Amino acid sequence: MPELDDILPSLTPPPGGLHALRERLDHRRRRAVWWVGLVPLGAAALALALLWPRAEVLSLPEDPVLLTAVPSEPVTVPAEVAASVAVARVPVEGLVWYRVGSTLPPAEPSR
Amino acid sequence: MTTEARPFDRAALEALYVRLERPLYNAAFRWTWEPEEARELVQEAFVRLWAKRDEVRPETVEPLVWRITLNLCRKRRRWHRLRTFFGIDRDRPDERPGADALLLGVERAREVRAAVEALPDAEREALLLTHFSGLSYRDAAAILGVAEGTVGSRRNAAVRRLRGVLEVHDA
Repeated sequence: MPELDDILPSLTPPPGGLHALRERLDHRRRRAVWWVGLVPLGAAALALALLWPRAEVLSLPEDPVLLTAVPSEPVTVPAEVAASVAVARVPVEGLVWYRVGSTLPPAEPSR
Repeated sequence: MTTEARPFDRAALEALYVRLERPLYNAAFRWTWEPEEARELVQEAFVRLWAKRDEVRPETVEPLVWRITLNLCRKRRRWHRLRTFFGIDRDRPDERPGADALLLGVERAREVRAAVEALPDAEREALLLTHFSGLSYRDAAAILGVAEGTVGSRRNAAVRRLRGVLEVHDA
């Protein structure tokens, strides 16, 4: 009757195992070094993306309040242009913006 | 005077590989039935061991590399079964005579493969681990995460099943 060793005999591994393992480990190290070089680059890109000043998008109200004559407002229109300038007070998210524009009709294009 | 534990360096890894390559390869071969794939799994286990070298303690390194190898073997077999299920692996190496056929003969090697493949995973692991590793049942139990007595009972059950098919005597 066969013994277990006869059924599951000890086989010899293919040759060159240690050499192949060394190559794998060195290859892994080279690959790791390659990635390490990218780490500071990635960190710098991330920092730049996070710290880059971005324009804040504010949603303006549909109907700003048109100022006609409010002395307490910090924005004033000089008397000489008061007839042709409008100032709108635009409160947005805790701030007050002032929209200033001309009330004159657009000039005809010159020929 | 206290002696400092030797660090697990590259030389220690390579020495361990030289010592364990054969038993690990033999266990892995009984999962893959393909020489190059079995060796590749063993090497992958050492690559992973190297990646964990900072956590490795000399007294646990051998059980650890066995555990990694057995896990890799199980995962690889699941992968092959999945590929076979989807028709990707049409000519699995277990259908071809391999290194075991040189020692056992083609027909006998095929019978052994079929008998080992028919073993439940837990019994197969216990059998291959205790047969090839030379580890004690206690160490094998630590690797498999079961009680020491369970290792023995699983091994015996595996041998009984093999004996039923192949008329094997456990030495």
